[in-house]
Amino acid sequence: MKKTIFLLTALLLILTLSVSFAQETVKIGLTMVITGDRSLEGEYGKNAAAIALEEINAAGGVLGKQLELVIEDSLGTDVGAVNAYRKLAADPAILAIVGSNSSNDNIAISNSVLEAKILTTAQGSSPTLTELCNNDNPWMFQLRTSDKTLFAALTKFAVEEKGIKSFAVFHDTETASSNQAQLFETALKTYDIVPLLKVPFTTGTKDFSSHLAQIQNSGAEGVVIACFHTEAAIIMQQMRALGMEQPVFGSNAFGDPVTISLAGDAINGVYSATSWVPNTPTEKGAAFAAKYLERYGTVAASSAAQIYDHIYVICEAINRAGTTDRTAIRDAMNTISDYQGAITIYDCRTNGDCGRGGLLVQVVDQVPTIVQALYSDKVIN
Amino acid sequence: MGIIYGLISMGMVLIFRSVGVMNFAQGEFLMAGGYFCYFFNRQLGLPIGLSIPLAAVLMGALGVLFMRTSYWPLRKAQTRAIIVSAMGASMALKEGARLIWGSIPLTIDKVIPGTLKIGTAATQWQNIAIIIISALLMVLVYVLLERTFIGHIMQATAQDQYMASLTGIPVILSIGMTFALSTIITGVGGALLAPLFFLNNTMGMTSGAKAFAAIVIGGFGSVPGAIIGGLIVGLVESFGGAYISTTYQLVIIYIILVIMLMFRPHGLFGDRIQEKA
Repeated sequence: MKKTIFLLTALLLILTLSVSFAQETVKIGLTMVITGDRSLEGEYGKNAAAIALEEINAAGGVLGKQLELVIEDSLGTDVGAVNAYRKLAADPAILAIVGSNSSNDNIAISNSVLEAKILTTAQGSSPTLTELCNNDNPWMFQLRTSDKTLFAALTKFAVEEKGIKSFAVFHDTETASSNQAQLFETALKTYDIVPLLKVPFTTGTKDFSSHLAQIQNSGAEGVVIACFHTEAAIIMQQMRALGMEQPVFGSNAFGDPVTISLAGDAINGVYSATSWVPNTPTEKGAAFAAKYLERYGTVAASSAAQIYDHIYVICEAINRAGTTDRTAIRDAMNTISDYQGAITIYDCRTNGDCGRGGLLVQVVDQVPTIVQALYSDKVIN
Repeated sequence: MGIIYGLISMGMVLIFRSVGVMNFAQGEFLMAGGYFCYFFNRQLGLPIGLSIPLAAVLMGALGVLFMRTSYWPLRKAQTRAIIVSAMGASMALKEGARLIWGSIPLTIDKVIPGTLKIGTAATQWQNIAIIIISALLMVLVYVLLERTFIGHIMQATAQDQYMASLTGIPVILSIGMTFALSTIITGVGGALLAPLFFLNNTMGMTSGAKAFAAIVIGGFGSVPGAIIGGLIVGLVESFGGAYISTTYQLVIIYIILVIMLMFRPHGLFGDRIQEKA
């Protein structure tokens, strides 16, 4: 009997201490792709999260408490993203959650976000996500600059500056890349231009000889490509090996350090509309890039910079709210109108398309060189 | 790609003939070969001509280790237990590679850099190197199996392990050599592919699936069938993409597979097996 009482008391003490300890920190959850096809995003993300955590805690933390990050693996699938999100949302101590780096995954978790009523930041750039955040989900915020802005700028550059009048559109069939291809076509319509050819491929394709043969035979002056890093690098190598020297206008993956390191000289000359390059002109971004390089020996890819900014923006919202009440934090997020992040300035007065800036770059000697800095003010109706 | 599928499916057939079980970790051997070559070429700074043979040696060791841990303890168990064991080993290899080398795609030096241009046609010299080295490997495997004493031992064990043991053949050694040979040829394929398609820990998944299709088309248990099946899959992939649909290349391959199963289930070179009532 005495032994039972002693054990129960000890257990109660341990639980009390652990709860007390937990209350000394402010928790933010992150769903990241740690395993699976897109695990490189998670690797960059975890590294960036560690830097952000260290900086924020060194500066005094959030609401006077130390920040704690809780990471769950979204497995690189929409089902994995939902499960990871739900696990984080079930923790009452978590005040906000960063969604994974895919519009698809963030659309998948949308219902869970509505149920949980937790401020959730989405890393995707799809216009579908913008609509969802603006109209259907008051708890979800799309921090990344929308693809609509980036692809409109890329199209304008290709047609007006480079004088290209005929295009082949080459894209991955997964949602984000398909959407990007569609955005490019929509932007081309404003110039009364219809792509000569659309060539889709499935993620994971390695041999693009048949696809490139079609593009070569079409006679297109320029090629627009929307896909992820590995495919982007393979395509550029195979294009140049076939002697295809048409100007290439690529999605954000083409300006990413991962793609450039894989493709080597084959990617020189490619134009890309992206939100981040390691040689960014923003002061905060340059400082982050330098710290990342010093600590990890590799340049920071966009998935690293995004996590870094998401954590900082959420902390800004929590500090503005001055409380751990989730609704107050969400409301405070809507008051952010010009927060300078590593990537760009964030305006969260409406939930979608909070990132206001982007970059048009050309890869020169394997370095993404800024051609145009893009910025647009948010239109609030 | 067809010849690489041929290498992978040849490796799968060697194991299937030896132990009667399809190895679902074969795609991961492709990945492991690439990563071992990366270790020697980029991390130790050795030339690619030396890195590939050294990677092959490591792959042989991996094959023996795989046999001893994933197959041998379960050799008397039901087939499905061995299949599950192989699938588990596949996951372990994938995640092990990710833990050791990370998730960022990697590349290694090409055997022959540059592009071969003939008129308006062009191909990378690495593709030529893949064809030559793979063909050489296939010939060497044929010579080993058909013309050497060790090869005869391996074939005898594959045909009937019990009888082989009765004649004094060390069965575990023979099976180990078969696994080692299988992993070596698949791993070399991975090392040859890596400069073109880059290394990541999931690179073996799709290739493994296509190699399985190659085996079915070529005929279960037939080494020449595996090679021909691999070439057919590669050609269907290329021409199907060029003339039918680039999106549905994999679908086209599996439609061919289904048609083959419907009209010639034993494959092009497999033995017809019929059950009589």
